[in-house]
Amino acid sequence: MNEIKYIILREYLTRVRKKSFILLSLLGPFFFALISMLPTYFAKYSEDKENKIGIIDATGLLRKNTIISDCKIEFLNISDTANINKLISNNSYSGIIQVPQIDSLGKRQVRYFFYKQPSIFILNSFESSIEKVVFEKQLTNYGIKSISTLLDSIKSITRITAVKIEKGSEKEVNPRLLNSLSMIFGLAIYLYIFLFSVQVMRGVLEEKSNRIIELIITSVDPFKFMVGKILGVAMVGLTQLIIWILLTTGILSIFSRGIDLQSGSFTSGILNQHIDQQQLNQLLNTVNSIDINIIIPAFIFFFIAGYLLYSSMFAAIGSIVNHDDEVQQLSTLISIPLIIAVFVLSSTSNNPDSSLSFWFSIIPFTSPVVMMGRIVHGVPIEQLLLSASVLILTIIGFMWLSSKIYRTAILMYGKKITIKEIIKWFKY
Amino acid sequence: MNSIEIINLNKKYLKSFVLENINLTIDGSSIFGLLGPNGAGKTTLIRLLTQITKPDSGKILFYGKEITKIDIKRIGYLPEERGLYKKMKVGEQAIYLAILKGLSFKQAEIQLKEWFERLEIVDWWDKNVEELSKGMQQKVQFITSVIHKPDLLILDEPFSGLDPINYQILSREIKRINQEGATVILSTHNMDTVENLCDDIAFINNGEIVLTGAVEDIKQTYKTSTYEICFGGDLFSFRTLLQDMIEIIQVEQYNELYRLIFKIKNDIQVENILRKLLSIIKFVSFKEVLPSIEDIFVNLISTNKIDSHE
Repeated sequence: MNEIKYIILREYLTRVRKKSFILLSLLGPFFFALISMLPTYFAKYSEDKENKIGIIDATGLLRKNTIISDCKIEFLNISDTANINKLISNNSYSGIIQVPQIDSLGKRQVRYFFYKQPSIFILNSFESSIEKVVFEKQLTNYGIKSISTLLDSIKSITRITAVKIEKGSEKEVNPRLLNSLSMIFGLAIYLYIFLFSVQVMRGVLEEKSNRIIELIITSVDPFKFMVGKILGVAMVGLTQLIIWILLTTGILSIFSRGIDLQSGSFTSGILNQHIDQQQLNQLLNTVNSIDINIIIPAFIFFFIAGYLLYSSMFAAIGSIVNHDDEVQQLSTLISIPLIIAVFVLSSTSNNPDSSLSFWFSIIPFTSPVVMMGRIVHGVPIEQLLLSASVLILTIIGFMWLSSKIYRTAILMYGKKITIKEIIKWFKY
Repeated sequence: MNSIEIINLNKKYLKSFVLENINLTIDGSSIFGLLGPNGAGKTTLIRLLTQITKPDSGKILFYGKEITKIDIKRIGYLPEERGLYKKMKVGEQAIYLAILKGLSFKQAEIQLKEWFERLEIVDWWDKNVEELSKGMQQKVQFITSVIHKPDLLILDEPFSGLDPINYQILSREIKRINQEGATVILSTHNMDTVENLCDDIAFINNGEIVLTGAVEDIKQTYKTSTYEICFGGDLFSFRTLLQDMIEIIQVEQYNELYRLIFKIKNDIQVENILRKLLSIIKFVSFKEVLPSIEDIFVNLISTNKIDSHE
């Protein structure tokens, strides 16, 4: 027992002390915080507001309130047409839109003069605003005066409220939030497996190529050593995960408070803008509808189990290959099921109970990712148990298989290893 | 007592024998040399002893009982292809490897410090392995293979890359470990090492043991009635007197003295030659020249028409 403790400890300490680990642990959260804040930041400080745009409107139909745009808008006289060049080159306006008279056929050539390239969004917003006004004008021209109010009254916004029936009671939930959650859980597992299983493989390859392995496996059982390595790297991953979660929440709370002070409110502002009371209730209901007692243990289980399965496969790969370039090919091959799992996940988050989702949440190579995608929507407990037991059995099988491959392949240098040979090793 | 007994051992790799019908006994108190050209099967034999691989048939007895996985804790092994973790501190790494051998952290630290002092490498304790030269690393690796006081120590080319001083230090330590009771198996191409250190040897070639026994016995067996004489006097009368009895191999002259190496022809007693010579020359020295292990080795390989593939 003493040995395996120190194997885990060494694997853990050498990785945790690495500069790259420390750097990634510290910078990762800033990156996550940045990503989660960028959209709101961009929305708030869009450059549209700094643009002053002049309009020369020959139709006389456009008003400030009929144009939906974040830009500053000024109406110019028709007589300014001759001065467009001058107005733009002395930076009074970043662009000037010239709307000509409407001809009988309704064809218009609206022109935008600029010095600085306008964003496609600015052009789109002007286009649709002008389109709408002119369209209404044309309708009136044809004598269909009340049509626009008629159209407005016909148009209605349909929004489906999802109501989940659970234990006899009804709860309004937000399916979009559930989708995002299932994607987040699934992707977290995918990323973790991918990042850290590969580290196991690199470690094995390092020991093989610097030849320390021969010293080691004449001291301890190769299986013990492999398991120690896998567990050590798993702890590195967990450490990083915990650092990331703590720092990211820390950074987010500091930053959001900072923005609150600067500009009134940041988070509450967003809430006010986009979420009314009913939606807020929905959100809370959604969060409450998720069974934490199942999801947290399940997440931890699939997280660890998925990693164990893949890291044992990656360990075997590391022991077979001799060079880095061979690693690329073989590890890509092994990653395929994992990548398929992510594709299935995107369908699962929309359609958690389809037979596609079901089967891929049972197949052990994809189940850690896909099952986490399903679980936020609620999965029958017997399916969960089935998936877990298949996974556990597969892990045991693959650990055994990998250790057989590992203990022989790790000492073979410069030889191409064939499938036939690998089969022979299982006899030992 | 015999520490190792190998009985009818066979090992195949891809249908061809790497080791065929090996029978070998190694005395518990000996330093045993394992010789043979590259690819002869030495490393495979060592891997069988260290339980890295298993034989197809036959068995290995370790102190009278069939060897098992547990016994690897009683074996120390310095592989030929050896390495260390480059980014780890020397001391930490040595402690880690010692713990894997079954020592506690405390034991490991105390014993390693002793060893580091004895091999004069105390200053390296806190250095990164990548800062060490190959020879220095080799000393560290040697220590990690003996730190748990093994009953059987297997050294595969332990001296390659060592300077003469470190060579001396290491052979001193190997002798000491042997005197303290451990069996040492030494696999090497360096024949001087064999002459200096080994009590018994085995030649392996093409997966078979061609020759085994005590170094001195083997030399006696393979001796070729060759003698070296040093004398003062007339070389011409020496030659004429012994014309039909000897074949001169080498002649050297130092001022008034001659040094000759010669082979005695069949059926002629060395005493007769000496008696004849007494009257005509002034003896300085006379001794029998035993073949070197290297000569025997080369001879064996060429007569067996062995293809040594690198």
